[in-house]
Parts: sequence; structure tokens; C-alpha cells
Amino acid sequence: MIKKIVPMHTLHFKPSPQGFLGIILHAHLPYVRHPEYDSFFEENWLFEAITECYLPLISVLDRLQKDRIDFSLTLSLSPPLICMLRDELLQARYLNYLRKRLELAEQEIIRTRHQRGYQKLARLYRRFFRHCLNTYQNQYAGDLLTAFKKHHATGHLELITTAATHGFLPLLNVSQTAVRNQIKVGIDTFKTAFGFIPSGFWLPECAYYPGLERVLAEFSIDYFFVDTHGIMDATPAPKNGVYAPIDCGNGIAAFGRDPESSRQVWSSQEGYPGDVDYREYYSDIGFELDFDYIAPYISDEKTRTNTGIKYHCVTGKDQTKEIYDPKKARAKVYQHAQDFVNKRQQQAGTLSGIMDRTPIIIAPYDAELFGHWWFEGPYWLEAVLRLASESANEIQLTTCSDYLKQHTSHQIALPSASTWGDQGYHSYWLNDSNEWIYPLLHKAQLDMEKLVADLAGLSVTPLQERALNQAARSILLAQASDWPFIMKSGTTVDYAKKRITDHIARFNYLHDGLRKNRLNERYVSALEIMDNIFPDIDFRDYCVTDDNAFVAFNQP
Amino acid sequence: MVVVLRLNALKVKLSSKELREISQEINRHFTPIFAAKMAQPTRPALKLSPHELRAISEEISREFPPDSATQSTNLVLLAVDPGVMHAYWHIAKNNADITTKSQMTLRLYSTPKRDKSVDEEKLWQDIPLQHDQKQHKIHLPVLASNSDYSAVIGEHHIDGRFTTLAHSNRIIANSHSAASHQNRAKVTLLQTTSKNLAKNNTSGLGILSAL
Repeated sequence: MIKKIVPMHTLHFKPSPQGFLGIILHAHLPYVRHPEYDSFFEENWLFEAITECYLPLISVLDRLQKDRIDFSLTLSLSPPLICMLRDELLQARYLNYLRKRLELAEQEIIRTRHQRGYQKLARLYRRFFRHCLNTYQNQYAGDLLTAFKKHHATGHLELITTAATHGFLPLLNVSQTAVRNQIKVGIDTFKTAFGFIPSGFWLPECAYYPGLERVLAEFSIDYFFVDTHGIMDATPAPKNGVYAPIDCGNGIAAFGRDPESSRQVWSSQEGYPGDVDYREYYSDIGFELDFDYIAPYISDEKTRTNTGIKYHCVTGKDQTKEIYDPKKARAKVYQHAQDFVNKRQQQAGTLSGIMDRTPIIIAPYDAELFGHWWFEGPYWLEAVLRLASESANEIQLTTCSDYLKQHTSHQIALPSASTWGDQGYHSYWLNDSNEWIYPLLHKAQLDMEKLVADLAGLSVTPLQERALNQAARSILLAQASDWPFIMKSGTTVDYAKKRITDHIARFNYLHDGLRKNRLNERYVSALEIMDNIFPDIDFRDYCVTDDNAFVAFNQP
Repeated sequence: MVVVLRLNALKVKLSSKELREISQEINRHFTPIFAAKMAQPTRPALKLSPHELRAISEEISREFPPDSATQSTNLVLLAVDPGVMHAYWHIAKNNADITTKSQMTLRLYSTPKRDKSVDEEKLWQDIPLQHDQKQHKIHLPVLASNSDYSAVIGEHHIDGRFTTLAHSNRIIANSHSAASHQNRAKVTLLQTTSKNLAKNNTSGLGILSAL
């Protein structure tokens, strides 16, 4: 007899709440892996995120599990992040990074021996790095995906994913194959890592265009997220605002971001992270101490970079930065968590009186905000999850999957084109700073599709097959939304430009070599070593005809 | 196959969605969590030092630089904001002998959604271009709101003739309703460089706020 399997955390009775709260963290970094260098500055993006965001998040989940807290949280893990977290080279380099942080903290304890307040913090950082090392090396053996998988198994953490390299889908939509492959490769990568197809899909930058739901349907996705105006401007107008999902007409649900929960975290005026007692992100000893002293711990011992050791709090405007006081910060964390939960309860109370169903408040955030930009963020999240779990009759934590299991009928409406970027549409990813990339991206995609079409029915050698698969990787890596974003934000612009031009050049080399039958295995191998993302990629997915056409290719 | 037959015998009917949910539940509860480490990507047999990798990378970047030129003339439209579209094009060498007597022109067509089936009601507007221009920012509404757009690029001759060089893709311009536009309140955001700190915020209550 087949018995319905019920997650353990749903077995006990739960009263009907006034509203649901869905907190979603989206974890993503571009693929930053450079085996062609002994060390590479941009790899620190990953190492900082592991130290300050992912390990603290895992510790939060571990503590909640240990205390048997009944919570629900959704985590979107991007395919580049999944691939980097499981990469042996980056795992080894991360351990070196962490050991250097620990060494620096030890040095700081000595250097600050006559500055009690600073030394106390230096000891805190030593404890923090030791804890990271222990969690990473001893508890999870360098495999953080296992940690997330463990918490998924408890039923408290829903795991979802996003497009292959976080491509900005509306601007890739000149080719449907480009969009389809971003989604397919993303889901395939997730499935290989976790063993199942995710129910939800995080649209990169929440960028939606009408029709995208049809592609998602091909991959059995149940839901996705859009920004507030994606729902508010839906056709027809939503009856319940963003507080109930809409059915896009093909059974796929679109959930809209709640602006209130967003504002409380993101706004510099109202947002929690800007509180005077929280740690100041921009005060880092990598930029403050004597160069000779700090040189062994910064990039290539030449360029000042963040070390993660920061001694000051935000402090008031135009005041000398004060020493960071963790106790005061922790008190603020609790206060802010209480405020957040109270406001959600009030929202739910108001909404439940005027809606025809139980409202759901969707609160999505970048995972990297919590811990990296906002040092106390993971503790705030933990406090929110604990407080919300205690007040389940007013506001109940949920995942979108669980919500959709309980609520099967939704208003049919089509979201409007939207993103969660500045101005709400595409202008952050298409403007004077980055418009030059699109002719290149579209041309490479078209060249790849033509090449694959021309090969239909022909045999390919093992080397050609490798080159074709590598060409697909190059295209996907060039399509990451991070590069135009960085060009617009003006941070590491040269690196972003180089990444796009390098990946397109690599594609051009492979395309040329395949067309002219003059591939050099040494060069193909070099590209495979450098861009080793998506090991299971299949170039046949670039065939623009229907799926049956794939069989036209003769396996070597 | 055996499983299917047994299920049929028991008259158990499961939809693909139910099968997937069961599969996910089983996976959640019975997948070995601390199994052996996941397979790593297959490594190429050839071993190359960082120096060799760098040399190959630099050579490829030098020898195969990006080039947007295509063999044929092409034109692409991209939606930007509700008020803006972006067009870029490439004129192939065989079309590049445009005389100075003609005006290179981007002809933009709009088809109001409600009249989509009536091709004759297409509205169009000409945007004169410089001969060396490769892209253009188009401010909308040029013709009509809530429309599908397409364009052609070509030569507008003195005698009024228009020679088409390339047709664009068709796009739907981004649109938003007046109601939500009025509610949209821009939020001053954290002064950090995190990815999505600059966000619009609309009222999520929408029509509910009026109740």
C-alpha cells in the first residue's frame, strides 16, 4: 500500500494563521575560478561569502534544528555557486584563505594587546574564524551542499535554483534556445547536486517577461517570483495584490514581493542594517593598517582588500566611528527581529480581514546581504524564524510549495514584464555602460545554434564533442547578468569586461576550430580546465528544432 | 514496467505531479545524507600548469577577439523600460554601399494589441540615422502604448522609395498601469554595492489599500 509521506514538521497540529510569511534567500555569485593563477582576487568573493554568509546560515539552521524550532525557509542556490562549492580547487583555496584569516586574527590579538576594546574584538574574530574552520572542515568536510541537503531533508528548508549562469532572460530572449538552455542547464545542475527537480525557480534579477512561464512549464516548475509591480500590473488586475499568488494560465504560480518587508531591510533610512550599533562594513583593517603589516593578508600582497576584520560600528552621521559592541548589536538584532515579526502580524491581521483567502507575505532577499553586508543579518534571520515560529496562530512561516499544496485555486492572470532592479525594468542591464555586450552575446548564441544545426546527422569525434560542449559553457558564462550589472555599478568594471570578452573569444576559438576542423586538443583541454562548470552539459541542447532532432546527431 | 503493471492491477492512478511529489518526498527522507562526496567534473587527461593555461588564455583572447559583425545585415530590438526600447544593427558589407543621397532610416512599426490581427492598421514612424551609427535608443510612446513593436532598417531615397535592408524581431514594449505607477515610491537605499540594492517599491496592497 502506498502511504502518503508527510514531512515530520507538519505532523503536529497547527492552528490556522491569519497570514503566512515566506522568507526566501537567493544565493548567487558569478563563476569566479581561476586555475591559471596561483591566487586571484575575485575568488575572494566566494571565500568571503562562505565565511560571512553561507557558514553562518548553516550554523543558524543547525541551531534551529538542535532547538527543534518549527520553521520554514526557502533557499535558492545558483548553479555557478553550486559548482563552485563542490569544486576541489576552490575548496582547497578556501581553506588557505580561512587559515590566513585565522593567522591575521592571531596577529591582531598581539597587536591590540594595549587596546582592550579592540583586542576583545580580535578575539571574537579568532573565535569566528575557528568556528568557520571547524564547521567547514570537520563538520561538513568541505561540502556545504551536504549541509543544505541535510536541512532540506528535515522539511524546514526548501531548496530551489535559478538559471545556469544567472542570465538576464528578457535580454537573451532574442533566442528562445538561449532562454531555454539557461533554464535547463540550471535545473540539470541542481538535480545532479541534490537529486531532485526543484519546485520553484528564481528568475535572475526577478526578470520576467510574458511567455517565460511557458518555458518554465517545460521543466515542471510550480512557481517563481516577480517584483511587486510584476503582480500589480498583471492582466487582469490581481484581486489580492501581492498577497496571493496568481496562476499564469498554465498552472504555474507567480508570487510577488511584499514591498513593506523589503523596505524594512533594504532602505537606508528605515532599514535595519543601517542602525548605528551594527558593524560598519566599510571599516576594515585591510584599508586602515600599515601596508607592511597587512600586506601578507591582502590580494597578491599588493592591493589593499577587505580582510573581514572590522572594529567599528556604523555610528551616527558625521561622527567619529565608535568601537563595535557585539552585545549592543545583539540587543538590536532581537529588537529588529521583534519589530519585523510584529509588523508582519499587523499586516496579516489587516489583510486577512479584506482578502478572500489567507494572505501570504513574500519576503525575498539576497543571501549575501546576511553576514557580508549586514554582519548581524544571520542572527536577525535566526531571531525572526524563532519569533515567527512562536506566534504561529498569527503569522505562520511557510514555503511556496507548502502554500501551493494547501491552496490549489488561484486567480488566473499574467504578470507584467518586470525586474527587481533599479527602475523596475531592464535599464540597469542595458544602458550606455553595457549595451555593447548584447550584439556579441546574441551573435555567439546564433553562431552556436547554426553550428549545431549544421552538424545534425553528422558524426562528431570525441574531441569535437568536447569542443562543442566547451563552446556551450563559454556562451553560458558570457551570459551571466553579473557582468552588465558590474559595468553599471562601476565596481570591478575591468574584470567584468574581461570576463565577457574572454568567454566570447574562447567561444570564437572553438567555433572557428570546429568550422575549419583545426582544433588543438591542448587548447581545448586548457579551456576545459579553466571553465570546468557544468560537467554534464550537452551541446545538442542548442539544436533549435524540437527535441526529436537531437537523435539526428550520431554519437561517435 | 513491472511497477506500472502492478499499479494498474491495483487501479492506482497517479498524475505526473503526484509522482513527482512522491519522488521528492522519498528523496527527502531516504537519500543518504553523508554519502561519499559528489563526483567532480571529469578532468582532461592533459595536465597544464597555471603558466601554460594563462598563455593559452591570452593567446585566444588576442587572436579571437569578440566581433559583432555578421555576414548578413541584421537588426535587433530590445525592450528597456516602459518608455524606452533599444535597437542595434549591423550592415553587412554587401549592403554597405549606401549612397549619400539616401537617408539611413529605422522604421518602427507598432501594432496595438487589440488590433493585432489587422495588419493593415500597423502604425509606423521613421527615425533618421547617421550612416556610421550602430544602435539607437528609442523613446516611447513613439506611436501608441500597449503595442507590439517591430522595425526595419533601410534606405529612404529622395524620391520617397524605401529599400529595406533587414527586419527586426518583434517585441512587446514593457508597460505598467497608471495605478501602480502612482503608488510607486522610490526608496533611498543602503549605500553599499550589493547586487540589488537599488529597487523600486510599489504598494503591494494596490486595490486593497482603497478598501
